[in-house]
Amino acid sequence: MGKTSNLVVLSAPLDWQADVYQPDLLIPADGFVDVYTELALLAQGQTLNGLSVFFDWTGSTLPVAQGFEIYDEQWNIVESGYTTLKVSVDEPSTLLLLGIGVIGLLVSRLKPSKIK
Amino acid sequence: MKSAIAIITAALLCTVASADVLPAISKTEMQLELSQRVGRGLYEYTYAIVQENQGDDALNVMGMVTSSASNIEVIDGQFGVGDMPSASLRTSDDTTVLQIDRSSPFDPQSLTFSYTGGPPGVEGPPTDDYEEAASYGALSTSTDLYTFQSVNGSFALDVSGAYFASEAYQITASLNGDLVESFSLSPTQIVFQNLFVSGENHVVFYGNDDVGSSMYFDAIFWAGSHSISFSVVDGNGTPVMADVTFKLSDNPKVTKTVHYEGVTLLVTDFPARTIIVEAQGEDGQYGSTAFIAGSQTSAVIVVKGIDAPAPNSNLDFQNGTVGWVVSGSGTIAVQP
Repeated sequence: MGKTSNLVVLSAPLDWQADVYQPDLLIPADGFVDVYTELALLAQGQTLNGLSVFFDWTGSTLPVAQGFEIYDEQWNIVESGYTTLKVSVDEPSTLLLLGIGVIGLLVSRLKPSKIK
Repeated sequence: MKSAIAIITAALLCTVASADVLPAISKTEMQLELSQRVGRGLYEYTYAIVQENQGDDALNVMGMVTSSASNIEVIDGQFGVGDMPSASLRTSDDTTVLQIDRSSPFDPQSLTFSYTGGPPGVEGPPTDDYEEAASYGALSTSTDLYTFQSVNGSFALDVSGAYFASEAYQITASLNGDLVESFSLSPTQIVFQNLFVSGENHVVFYGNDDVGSSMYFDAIFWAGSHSISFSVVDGNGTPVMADVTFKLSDNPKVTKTVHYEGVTLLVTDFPARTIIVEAQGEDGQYGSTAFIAGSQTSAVIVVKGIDAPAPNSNLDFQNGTVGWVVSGSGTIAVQP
């Protein structure tokens, strides 16, 4: 289980939808942010900024990179990996980490620009 | 195991096994073994179940889980446990699968676990050997497993050779994994009013008879509210009297057959699934087609007969092109 809680999406790229699913200790399962679009095209090689996620870090050590998965339309995982931590933490003893900016996509789904 | 159960229910005969409901066995833990995303916010979670026996020794224990939560669908609710001595803990031999909508929190309290099994020296509950289990009575239904049912149609189970327990709490029934709480109960019949929904209807029933023996029923029915009007014609558009059979593509054993008399017919109760149509004319003509119920409301089935053989004794070109009408230019050669 991860050590995040109280996930909040602060911002998402234009024409992208970001849904939040909180961690559920009774399953048990991590929380995740589901980012997807039916309007925008993310071409091969293109990068996209603007996703900002806020969460509480409940670990006793510094937060680590967060996993992400990219799905196709049949919900098969086509890519997975870990985000890169780009923001240093001044007070590692605190449980609440604020303003982390673009931490990455916890769970994202890329979809072609085809409009249903 | 499920296939074996399906075979039994296909005969619309379910035995009353000599197993008992075992209230002294209870779930203590769900151990997550696997998760798989199946939709936006939808995950299927596979669990092994740990249970505790606070009663007497029990053999061939089987467990079942049902859900009363709207965000939990039981995909596979049956799991084998095996023998459980008194005061023992045991992890299930196989797993159960829950589909959980993550947009709402998972509430384990919405799950109900029930167990059946037999004391030493007595046959166990339904297993792979279900057909061989001791039988003290029989459950049956007049609802045809192999035809299309009406949406909101009622479903009744009749018992012979035994009587249903008089207390409703001794009855557990589910439809597609959801508990069915409304039914009327008499000593020999239980009726679920307005039960069927459009599409697949997986009905599972657990209950006790009046002496505490458990009863079990498991079957899949198909119901729908879509209809199609159709006619059968030959290649010239002339109506042809024919027997027309509609088959569910998901399970071709589920059929409905009507006789076409030359006037457009309306057939109902199809789920929104692909339906295969086969027509057999009275003179041996044959035709087939298919449609997706709900997206098409009418169809014309064209049947064709088998013509008489061509009056040509030179079908293998042994005599060159004698008997053939050849146009254009080219070379015909008989290959050795």
